[in-house]
This record gives sequence, C-alpha cells and structure tokens, in this order.
Amino acid sequence: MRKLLLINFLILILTYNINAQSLAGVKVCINPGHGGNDSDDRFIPETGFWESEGNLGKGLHLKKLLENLGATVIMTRVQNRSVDDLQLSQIVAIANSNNVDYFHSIHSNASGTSTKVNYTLILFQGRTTAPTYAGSLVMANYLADNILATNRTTRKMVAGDFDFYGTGQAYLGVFKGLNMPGTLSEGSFHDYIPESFRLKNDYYLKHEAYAIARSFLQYFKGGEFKTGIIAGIVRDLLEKVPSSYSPLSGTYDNYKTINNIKVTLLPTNKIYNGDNNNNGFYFFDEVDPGEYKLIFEAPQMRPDTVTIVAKANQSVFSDRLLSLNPILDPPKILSYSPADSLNEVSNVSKINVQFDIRMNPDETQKAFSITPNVSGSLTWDSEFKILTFTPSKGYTQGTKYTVKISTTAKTHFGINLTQNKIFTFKTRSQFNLISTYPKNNFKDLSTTLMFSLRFDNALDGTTLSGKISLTDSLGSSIPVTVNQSRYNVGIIEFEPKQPLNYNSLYRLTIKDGIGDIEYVKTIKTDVIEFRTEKKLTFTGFIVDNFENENSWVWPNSNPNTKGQILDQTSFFATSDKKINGQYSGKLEYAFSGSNGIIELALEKPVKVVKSNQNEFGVWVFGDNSKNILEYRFIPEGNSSTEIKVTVDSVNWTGWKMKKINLGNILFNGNIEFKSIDIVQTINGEKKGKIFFDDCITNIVTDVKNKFELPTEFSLEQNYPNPFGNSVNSDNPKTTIRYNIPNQIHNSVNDENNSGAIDNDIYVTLKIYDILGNEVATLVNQHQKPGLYSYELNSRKINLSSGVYFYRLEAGNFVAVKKMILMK
Amino acid sequence: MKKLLIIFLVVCVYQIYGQNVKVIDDKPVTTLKEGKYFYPIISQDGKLLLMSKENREGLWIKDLSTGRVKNISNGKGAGLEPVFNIEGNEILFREDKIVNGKIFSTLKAYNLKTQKINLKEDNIRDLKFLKNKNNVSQFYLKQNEIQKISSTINFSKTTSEEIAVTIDVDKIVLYQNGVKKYLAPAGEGYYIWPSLSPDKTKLLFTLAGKGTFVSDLNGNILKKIGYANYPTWSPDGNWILFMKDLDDGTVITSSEIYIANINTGKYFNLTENQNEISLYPIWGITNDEIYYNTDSGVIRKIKIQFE
Ligand SMILES: [Zn+2]
Repeated sequence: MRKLLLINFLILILTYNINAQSLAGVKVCINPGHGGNDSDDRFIPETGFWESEGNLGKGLHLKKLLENLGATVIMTRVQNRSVDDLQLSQIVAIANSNNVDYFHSIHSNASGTSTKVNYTLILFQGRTTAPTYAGSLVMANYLADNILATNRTTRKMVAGDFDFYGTGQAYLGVFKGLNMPGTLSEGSFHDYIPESFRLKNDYYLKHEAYAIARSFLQYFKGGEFKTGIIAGIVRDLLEKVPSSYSPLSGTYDNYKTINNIKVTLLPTNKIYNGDNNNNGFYFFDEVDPGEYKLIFEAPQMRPDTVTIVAKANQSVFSDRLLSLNPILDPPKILSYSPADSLNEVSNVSKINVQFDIRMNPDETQKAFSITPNVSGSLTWDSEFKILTFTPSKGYTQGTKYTVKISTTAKTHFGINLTQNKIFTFKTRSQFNLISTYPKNNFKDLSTTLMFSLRFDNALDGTTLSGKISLTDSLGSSIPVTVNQSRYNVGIIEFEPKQPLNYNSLYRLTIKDGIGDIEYVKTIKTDVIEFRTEKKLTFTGFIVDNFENENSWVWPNSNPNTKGQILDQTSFFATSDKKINGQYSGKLEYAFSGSNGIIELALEKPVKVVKSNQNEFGVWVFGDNSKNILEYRFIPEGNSSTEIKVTVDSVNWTGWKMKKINLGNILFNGNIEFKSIDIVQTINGEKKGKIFFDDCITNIVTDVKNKFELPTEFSLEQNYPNPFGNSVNSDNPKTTIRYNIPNQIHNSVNDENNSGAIDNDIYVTLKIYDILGNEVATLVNQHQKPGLYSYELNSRKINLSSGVYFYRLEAGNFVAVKKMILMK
Repeated sequence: MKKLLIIFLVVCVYQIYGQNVKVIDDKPVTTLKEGKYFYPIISQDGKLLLMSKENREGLWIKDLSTGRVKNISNGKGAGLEPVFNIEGNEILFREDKIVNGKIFSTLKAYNLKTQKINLKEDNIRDLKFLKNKNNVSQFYLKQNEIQKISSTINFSKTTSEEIAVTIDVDKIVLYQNGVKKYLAPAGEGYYIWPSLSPDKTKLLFTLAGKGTFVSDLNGNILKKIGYANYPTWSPDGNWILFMKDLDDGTVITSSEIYIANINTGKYFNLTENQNEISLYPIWGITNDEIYYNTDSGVIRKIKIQFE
C-alpha cells in the first residue's frame, strides 16, 4: 500500500517535470530593435507603422511571458524615445557584463522594393551551417518554426550573417563581441501593407511574443505552455483591397479586412473587440485545450459562427469572410452635390450622389444621366454607396446642366429607387486678368523690371503659347525669362533677358483665350504700354556694397524685426541679381500678422553727413509688395533713439535707386545710418523678396545722359489699328507716335551735348482721306527733339468709317502711313 | 573690430586648455598573417598584450619584446575581459560551456612563470571579475558571492587596494572595506564599463543611452564626459580614453578614438587620419601609449605627445 503510494507520487513528479513550463534561473537579454521614430527607425507612410513601435510591443509582451515563466529578463529598452535606441556596442556590453544566457533582438523586415514578400527570417552570427555559437542555430530553427506558426508569413528562412550578407565575416553589429548565443528575428515584412496593418494590432505583436517564448522554452528545455491560442482574420466577402497593397497570391489578403469586429469565445464568454487599424485580427490566449465556438459580429454584417479545437502550446486559426446583412428597404439618396440650382460651379466639379444602402453598380450607373452630355467617368467608393462622376475635360463654361438618377437605380439587394432624382447646376463663366505690373501708361519704369500678371484662378500653362508678347516701339519682340512656379496661384512673372533700353516705349499684349485649370478661358485682350526710366548714374561714398551678408544682422535675430514668419524670413548674399560686383543682398520675408517689420541692420552703424546737398540711397530691386521702405538712422553713438525716414511704397519691380535727401531729416546733430526696414501695410503683400545693392551716400547724380534723344526721324504705325467704336467701344482711341532727332549733336555719348542748344524744328501731322483731301490737322508747330505721341479719339473727330492716311512733315523728313477707322 | 575680438578669444582658449595633444605614431602591433585579434589588454609591466577573437573565443598572449604570439586557451568566453592578478604573475580568464541553454564558466589561471594552466573553479554561474584598476583583479563574483582570487590577499584587510567595482544590471556595485554599496549616480538605466580612478577616489562609468560620467565613491556626479564608449582612466588619472562609435542600427558605420582631459573637458581625436573603424582602446602603462583594435582585426598602438 505504502509502496503503491510512493510509485504514484513518482509518476506525478515525472508528469510534472515533462509539462513543467519553467525558465527558472535563466537570464536573457531582449533587444527590441531601433527606437525613437527617428532617422534610425523604419516608417511605412501608408499605414503609419514604425518598426520601433512594433519591436517594442513584441518585446514588452515577451518580457511579461518570460518573467511569468521565472526567467530574469534584461530589456535594452522599455520606451520608445531616441535615447532608448542604444548604440550596438552598448547593447553588447549590457548582455556581456550581466552574463545573460541568451541574447535576442526583435525586428520586422522590409523588402525596400516594389516586390512584396512576407516571410520570417532568423539571423545569427557565423556561417549558416557553422554558427559562432551552435545554440544560435538551434534557437533560430525553433524561432523560424514558431513565428511562422503565429505570424501570417508565407515561409521561413534561417541564415548566418557571414552568408546572408555575403561578407564571409561578422556583419551584424548587435552580435559583434557578444559572449553568448544570440539571434535576430525579422518576424515578418512591415512594408507588405496587409502585414503592416496587422503589426499595428497589439495582439498580433503579443502572438509573435508567444512564438519567441515557446522557442525559449524549447531552447532551455523548459517544457510547454499548457494553454493554446485561437486567432484569425475577419474579412469582407464583397470588398477587395486597393491594388496598391499588392496582396500576395495564395493568401486572402486581397479581401478587405473588417474593423471593429466583436468575437465571442464560447463557452468561456471571453470577448475580443477588434481595432480599426485595417487588420481584422482577433486573438484569444490562455485557452485550455478543447472544443470552442466562435461568434463573429460586425456592423451591417451577417453574424457568423464556427467551431474550433484549441490545443496546448499551439496557435489555431480560423479566418472568416463575412457577408452583408440583407436590407429590403428601397434606397434613399442621402446627399448629392453640386447643390440643386447652384451657380458658378467649378468647371471641373465632380458630381457625387450618396445612397444609404450599398448599390448595384452597373444598374445604378445606367440610371445616371447628365444633360447636355459631358464626357467623363463614373466611380464608386469602396462600400458602393457613393457614385461619383468626374468630367474628363471639364464642362462647358457658363452652361446649365441637369443631372438625373432614374428609378432603374437598384440596391445590392435588388430594390429600386422609388422616384426619379433631378437636380441642376450652372458652371462658372469667367476667367479674368485682375491686375498687372506695370499698368497701362506707367512711366519711369526700371529697365530690369519684373512683369507680373495676376489672374483670378490657377493657370493652365499649356494655353499660354502665343498669348503674351512684349515688343519695343518698332514691334520687335523682347526675349523674356518666365517664372512658371506661380501658375498654380494664377500669377505669371517674367523678366527681360537683357535690361530694356532707357527712356523707351514698350508694349505688352495679353491676348484672349488664356485658360485656367478648369478649362475656362479669358475673353478679352489687354494692351499695356509703358515707358522705361531715363538713364542716370549715381556715384558717391559706398556705405556697403552687399558683397557679404556678414556686415548685416540676420533679420530674425534683430529685436526690431517683428511679426515675421521665422522660417520664411532670411537674408543672404546672392549672385542671382546684382547692380555692381558679384552679389546683391536678398531679403525674403513673410508676415504672420498685420503690423510686421523686417529690419535689415548694419552690424555697425555708419556715420553720414546730414546736409541739404547730401543724398543717400540704396539700389533696391522692388517686389511691388506695396509695403513701405524705410531707412533708419540714429543720433551718432546713441542707438536708443531711432530716426525713421519713409522712402517709398514698394510699388515697383526691377532695380531702382531709392534716394532721400539727408538735409530733410529734422534732427540737430550728427547721425549714423543704421538699417533698411520693410514695414507692413494693410494692403501690402504678406510675403515678398527684395534685393539690395550698393548703399551709397554723398550721391552725385550724373545728368550727362539725361536726355537720351532719338537719333533719327521716324513715324510709327498707329496703335491699335483698326480703331474706333466697332473695334473697342470702351476705348475708341488710337495713338500715333513719332521721333524728332537732335540734328546738331546726334551722338548719344557726346560729352558736350547739354540739351540747351536751341534746335527746334517745324513739324506738321495731318490726316488725309483716300482721295488725298486733308481732313484734320493734329500738329502744326515748332517742336524740340524728342519722342512724341498723339492720341486720336474717334468720338471727337468728325470722320466716317474708312481708310485714312496720316502724314508727318518735319524739316526735310516726310512719312505717310495708312490707318482704318471703324465707327 | 570683429577680427580683434576673435583673436582675443583664441588667446583665452589657449590659456585655459594650455595642453595640446599630438599623435606622433600609429602603427600595427599585430599583422593579419598572425591572425585577426581584438580587445587588447596590457600587463602591469607593459610587456605583454592579451588579445582574443572577435567573438571572444580563445586567448592569446603577444610578447611585445620578442613579438611572439602564444595561444593559451581556445575556450568560449576566454576573451571576455581577462584580468591579471595583483601580483602580476597570473592571467585569470574564463571558459564557458552551455548546458540546457544555461552558461557555466570555468575559472582558469595561467601562470606566466610556469606557463601552466591551473583550474581554479568549475561550473560557476554569473562569473564577474571585480576590478581594482585597469585589467587587474583580486576578487571575483559567482552569483553575487565574493571570492578571492589570490590566497595572499584577505578581503577584510583595510587597504585601498580592497576597493573594487563591478555592475549588476542597473546599478554599479562598489566593494569598499568589506562593505557592498549599490550606486546609480546618473539615474535609471543600464550601467556598463565601470572603473576606479588610479587613486581610487573616483568612478568612471557609462549609463547606456545617457553618456559617460565621473563620480565620487558616494555616487555624486563630478563630470559629464558625454558620448564616450568603453571609457578608461589614464595611468596618471588626468585623462579619459574612449571610443566614439556610430551605427545605423544594423552595423557599426564609424568609430574614432578620443582622449579627454578630465580637468578641462578638452578632447582630442587620435584616429582622425586613420581610415579604419577604431575600437576598444586601452592605455599602455604610461599616458603616451594607447592600444586599440580595428574592425578588421589588427591591434594598433598610438604614441602621443603632450605639448
Ligand atoms: Zn529592424
């Protein structure tokens, strides 16, 4: 009897030893790879997955599992900051100096290419068949089998780093110098999108942790878990994932997963609530071996059940495809756009119709019509509830359209729409040029001006060909460099490739037919005529030549600068534009509020002489921002007081010498020039770019070339021609231009030409009809050499429609040109 | 004006950090023909160099006067920080074996005179050498139990030699006059690479992820050295030698060897002109000699000059 008891007792102990799950006395080091969502980390933008987070999630679950088994676990990190991402040499030192029995590093993999794979890879140090530590290969095989059995990978691989990386020697830094066996698991591929979504599920991570824990139990001969795991993926029978997910063949990853699922495990009544991370994953652990029933529920889905048998120390899967619950109500249109009777609808607007029930796509598309007919395509959202029409090349501008969805539209369950749905909208009609620089008849413009045309919508650059021309007074076109980068905000900017001539007339023509991105076109031609400034040279004492930005205080660190957007405000020397030397100073600025100031101050103020004869100025390449340009001075040696001088509103582009007379400064005593300031105005632009070159004092303005006179007679073709009410009812005028040269000194560079010499000449400009009768006299007087224009308003002369001639007579010069009047 | 200011500053800097360091020589001590060797350790008399393989398997002695290399162990773990006894006549090292996944160490001693290996203790779990100074140890730990290495030393004797240091996961463990003290001077985390200053008044250690520090023996931080791995004291205690290794999470991408003056904080890169990844530096027996290994397995020696 007694003996029998003892034997029974022995058997009990024996059984216990076989099934004992214990890692008592074992010390391991676990390294969740990377850390800190930094450059050392790996990120998948499509899913928002960071490898560091997945690795840490697995690591923390593993720590708990191993500690519950009695092991001592040293984690190289338990948080996910950059400081937690230790150097490889430190990780090795932690493992070595604590004499751990085993080292394991947790990762996930990436193919890094468009070829998608999803397998389990275990790496260790050494040759694949000859590891540095024999234990590493043993453990690698356990890990590969167990992780393949938990993760949704398609195959497994184990490899030594000497072979895997082809180096023939130690490669992976986390194993270098390690004094114990070690492995690195790439559990699955996080750049395979369906897997990446799964790795965002904490229970999926826990499942991999179980796989690693099972491997440790095998490795340390610590027995097996007595309980098992039931897991799986729930997907929608009707819906597929986008092709961009590249679902692997042989898997069900091509079906869209269901979010927020509820799975109940019977008879335990344990409930798993799914996440909304597009993985459809569910998971029950610590399940005693035996038969169970699972109930799957999800919004709008028909509930599903399955019977499953749980096994000790194993994971069993049941993946489900759920179908929609049938609805027998007729469909309702919940919303549609554009709203009924809406005007000024974008010419590329989509039409959306939203139903309350999943629709039959083919039947519903057939029930959709638009009048007048427009070419375009019909698409659906992933749930087949929203039908979208996208016109392929926009609508016709200014047109009324009628959209109809007839009662033949049907739900997925075969129920028709009960009533026709009809709504209308009218498309936008106009695309306009709203402002230009320069405007018509502007004078004194910089010869390096930057032209700017502003439209009321983003431009379609392909419609611009042949639409815009810049010509000189003889009709020759001037080559320009165009900035296309602001077409998207409706702005065209361009600069002449060479500076324009001084004191010359130019014409900018902007023809109708320029299109915006919605295929709407301009319907009006604009002509802008302008004259460049006379040539002047400025010499004096150079305060700063802007060859080096270091003589100026960085505007953002200047306490007087305020209201600026920090990262959009800067000052640099640049060779992009310049007046003299190699560089100019480029000030880019942006204001955040409404009363900002950008101050560009000298590192050290410079004394200037304050007298009525003394002019002070800076070459400024304006940005036409309409903000205020100020020069600021201080009393000599007293930086606490400021003397502000408003120079101008920045209403120009191109280089201009912006001068002030220092004698006008109302301050008794010596002054120093301190800074150039851009002061924001209410109507000013919030962003701009201004260039500065040579800042000069004691300016002498050279007037020798003040009058750049024509060198020969000329009579130009009137513009526009034809002209009159029928051509342009707003502006029935035309302009006739002619030149009277200096007849005594006609060399432009003649030093002695002062313009004071009296060389008037008798000039007549008369109009003749087609029969040669004189019908009007426009000019009949002595005129000095110069450039003349005569504006003829057809409303103010008593002439009928027809062909006329105008004739210029000046000294020995005679010229005749033809013009057409259309009243 | 601006220029003048800069010149003035330079003069100041020079006066504060008067001492300058120049590398005058950087030569290989081993050749690839002899084999690839790592983790150099130098004997107290500067005549012997201990070294191992990249994976710490085996232990070799290079006699620096004859150039001869001698293998004394092929055991696993033999290259994990072997030490000399205080008398300088024995090399203590471990040989590891794995039973059911658990690591057990055998402590062995190589007698430099007799060239015989003496097994000191078998089946030790969690063997750690307690360090008195660079590469010298009088005691070892087996599962946190202190054991003396040499029979001539009594741990209860109160001499400064009895101060020794090791680590236990997230603490530095200081044994001083028979008392065991746990320190975490720089806060929470893993402490590695602890060592005592030559005068045994200061501790040098690294807190993983946080940097390297100098503290007093009560754990009060005296200096923050910054990012400095595998730090060691110079023989005169005025300098710290360390490596600045960088990695991309997968492989070590670069590593340079530096020394930092503990008083001024000024540091110098000693391997600026060396293209190889330079690792695991140690001082020789004087301040002007440094040994280290390259990633490719060559032990090199740097000679420096203090100006
Ligand atoms: Zn990784």
